[in-house]
Amino acid sequence: MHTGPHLPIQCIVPPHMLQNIAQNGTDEQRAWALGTLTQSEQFRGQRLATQQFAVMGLSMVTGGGLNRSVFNARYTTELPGSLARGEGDPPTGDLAVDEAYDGAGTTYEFYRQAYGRDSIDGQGMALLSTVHFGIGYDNAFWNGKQMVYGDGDEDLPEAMRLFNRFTAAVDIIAHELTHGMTQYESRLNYFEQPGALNESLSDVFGVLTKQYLLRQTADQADWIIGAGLFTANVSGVGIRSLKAPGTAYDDPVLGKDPQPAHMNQYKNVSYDNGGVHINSGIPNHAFYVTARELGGFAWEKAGYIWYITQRDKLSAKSDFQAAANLTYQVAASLYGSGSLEQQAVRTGWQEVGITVSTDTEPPTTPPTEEPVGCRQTLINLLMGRRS
Amino acid sequence: MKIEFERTGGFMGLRIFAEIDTADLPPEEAEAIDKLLAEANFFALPEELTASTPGMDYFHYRLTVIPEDGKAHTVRFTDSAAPLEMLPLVRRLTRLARGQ
Ligand SMILES: [Zn+2]
Repeated sequence: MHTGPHLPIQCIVPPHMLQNIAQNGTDEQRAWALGTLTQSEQFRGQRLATQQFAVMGLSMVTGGGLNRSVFNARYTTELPGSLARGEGDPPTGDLAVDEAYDGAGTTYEFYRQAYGRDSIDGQGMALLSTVHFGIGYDNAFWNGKQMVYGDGDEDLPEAMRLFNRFTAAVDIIAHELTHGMTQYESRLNYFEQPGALNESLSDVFGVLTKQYLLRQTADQADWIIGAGLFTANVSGVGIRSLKAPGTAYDDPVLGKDPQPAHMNQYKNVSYDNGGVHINSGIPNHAFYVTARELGGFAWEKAGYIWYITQRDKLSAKSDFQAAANLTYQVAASLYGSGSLEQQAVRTGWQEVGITVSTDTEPPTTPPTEEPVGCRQTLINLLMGRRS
Repeated sequence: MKIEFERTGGFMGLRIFAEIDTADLPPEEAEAIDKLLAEANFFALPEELTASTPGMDYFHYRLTVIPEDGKAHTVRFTDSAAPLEMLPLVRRLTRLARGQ
């Protein structure tokens, strides 16, 4: 491009101001502008710890690519905690820190190599993780900005433990990172069917990351989320199964895996945001069946259809029917109308009780070039590059 | 003293619930809970302590305590929004709900 940098209007700081600083400012002022940028784009409304600010500022300067920081909450619930390992640092010997670091790297490489995507936002956003969160914290979450992992039942004697640390399964790490991606792409609501789709996308790309890492075909993979997460005291193979929802565990203390695999078992519940972690079994299984029908590496075709649907088609209020229709449309635009791939998508949804419909098909828009976002434009500007 | 503790959501989506009458607990367990409630300053906490940012896979808690001759107090909270002093209390109640 020969024109001056284009500054999208969604920038928080007036673009002319940053542009002025970029061109005429001192080094200090330019650093401040970079910091502002980081804060406005990724940490909106949140006061930053000085350390985190510095880390983020640094990652901005390196200009995208793989950039991980793992923090240690030291059994508190304060985020992000203290920096334990930054990008390029050697292993720490702290298992949770190193697993969070490696798992974020594996997920980044999967998205990069399978779909050409540069991180959560598609623009090299830094991957932030915190481990050792809370006491006896049997959970992992995405808080809108970063991944967070508990150590399971670390505070209990071994005979009483049900959960291992949540970094132990790479698909859990990819699940959390994909929540970040959903936040930047389809922005699916986290409630009822859109919420269950949000959950399902995280599970689908969670298992695909693991299959990619292990180079497993659809028929070789276990399709389990959280294999290895339960201790030997639990009767179960993992948290969820995409191949057979509802069968992952059946345990005297934890109860039975509540996931349905078909619309006729859809659970209308008020808790869990309307059962987002329960009814995700339905779209999860639709994906599994599609991949099973196609055979081979599931990330190549089924995964690609789901990825493009997430990136370009789904929106905040999409329900299961919309997801079925949209994946069917995307399969046609990628592989042709009536192709084996499109038929596999139809079969996938059919087996969970959803019939794809093309009646109300909205006009398909050709894939557009990824816009260069506000952040990257300004970073280029501040670093003296012209895009 | 009666306690109702519910945890929903989380990565697993597992709902756990416990209804506890401290009179039914071993005295040392009841005392420990009393102490944890005091340390968390539970009755002075606001009714809503939820995360300000939208997140996924958070645990959502609801804790109601009805003292022998007092007024019931309920606090709804998420993990990183609750004060640190709540942590040991939450852990104790989670274990009780799990039957441990
Ligand atoms: Zn999730």
